[in-house]
Amino acid sequence: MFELDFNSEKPIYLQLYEEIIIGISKKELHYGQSLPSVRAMAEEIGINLHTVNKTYNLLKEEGYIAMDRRKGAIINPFPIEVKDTQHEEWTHTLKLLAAKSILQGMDEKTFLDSCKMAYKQTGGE
Amino acid sequence: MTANILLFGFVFTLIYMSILFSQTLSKKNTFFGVFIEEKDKKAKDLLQFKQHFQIRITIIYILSLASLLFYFSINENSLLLLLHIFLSLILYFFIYLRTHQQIKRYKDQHFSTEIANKKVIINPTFIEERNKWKTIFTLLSCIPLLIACFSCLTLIVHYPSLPNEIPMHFNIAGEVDHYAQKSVLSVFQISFLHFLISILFLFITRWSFQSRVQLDLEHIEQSTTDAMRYLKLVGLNFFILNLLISVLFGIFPYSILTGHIPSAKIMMILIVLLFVNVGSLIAVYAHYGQRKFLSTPESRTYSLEDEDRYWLWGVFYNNPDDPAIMVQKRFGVGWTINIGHSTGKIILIGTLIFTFLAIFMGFLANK
Repeated sequence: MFELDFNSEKPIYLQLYEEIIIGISKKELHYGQSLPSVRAMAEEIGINLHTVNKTYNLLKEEGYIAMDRRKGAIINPFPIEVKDTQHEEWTHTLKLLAAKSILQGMDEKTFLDSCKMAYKQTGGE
Repeated sequence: MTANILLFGFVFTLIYMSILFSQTLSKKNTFFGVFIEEKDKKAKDLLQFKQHFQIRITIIYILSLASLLFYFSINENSLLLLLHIFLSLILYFFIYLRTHQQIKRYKDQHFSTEIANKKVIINPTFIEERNKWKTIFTLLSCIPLLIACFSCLTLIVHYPSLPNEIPMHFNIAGEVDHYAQKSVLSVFQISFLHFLISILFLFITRWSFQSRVQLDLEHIEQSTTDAMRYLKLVGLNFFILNLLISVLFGIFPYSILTGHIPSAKIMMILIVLLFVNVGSLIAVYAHYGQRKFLSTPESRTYSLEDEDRYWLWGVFYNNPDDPAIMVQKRFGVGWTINIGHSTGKIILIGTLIFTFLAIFMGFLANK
């Protein structure tokens, strides 16, 4: 189940991208399952097909889904193959999060505990 | 003559009642085509607008029915009936429009026009199941289409051996009361309509399954189940309606080839089934059609149709940026075409053209 918010500052294509990744991680979507077609997804949300295409292309580039000509977008098996640029981006995102946490006055233990909880809540074991 | 008056009075009354109850059957958060939160609908002024609407509609109904009965008793002219129906529909519409504008003005003055909650829920499992049923009902819709093909082929095969004068209309007693000269037009005009309506039903069935349904965030599972059941029941009723109409159209080639229509008993059964089917459709809309959960602004999912700016008179939906071809109506039950969509424009113009074509063909064939 994906939840999108048209009132949010974050663009819809990015919200959808994040929701799908979390959905896969939480095992709400599993390997081999098809996502709705670009057209069906666009009609359901009420946005342009290009916007959904953007999301699906992003997910495909990063290895979360594969585009099959007949079945459409299919979830890839895990773990995915991570390219170097992707790993750099991941490290950067983590550093940014750490920096924000430090500036908010969070100590290391709280930071790690929060990380643990987030990991568990999004499907990690 | 009495039978005709009763029949026409009945049709007239049906039209009146459907408009009278349109708002009651309309989806939640809409009031005469204006988006108004359920909690705000209870305002006394708004209820007064509704009462005035009902009173004015009833006055029009009584006056036009009286006028129709008066003129019909003098001269049984079907053109008179059409005129009365047409004029009363125009008047009904203007009363609706006035009410709609009053309520829109009231909303601008008393409620916030910006929608607070714009959350959307996407359920891939639901979409998958909906697609499955869309395919099932699309295949079922091919059955009436096959009946149309079969009827047309039968007429093509037997065309050379048809008499020069073919029966065009039967009265209640089963006797022919109108003949027409045999021509491609007179013989195949019904086939033309038959194909048209079967194809229209096929597309409308598909598009209704593709349309958005709004869920209740506080009852996600239940409202999803209800939405699925609603679509399946509408699909089933549409299919039965499509099938019944197809069978009724099939009576034309039957009557041309045999020289008579099926027994009065069979015709009666078909017509009763038709009414039962339409009644069933209305019951499905009334029970399931997006009216079930009285939701608060926080618990409702958002949909583009909630925005007033895409609606003309609260009746026509015009949003070129919306990929959906059909959306749920605001006033009344069922769906309406997105006239901002390129396919929507084609459907609208196409339907108008084909309607006039059908009437024109009828004129030509009966000359």
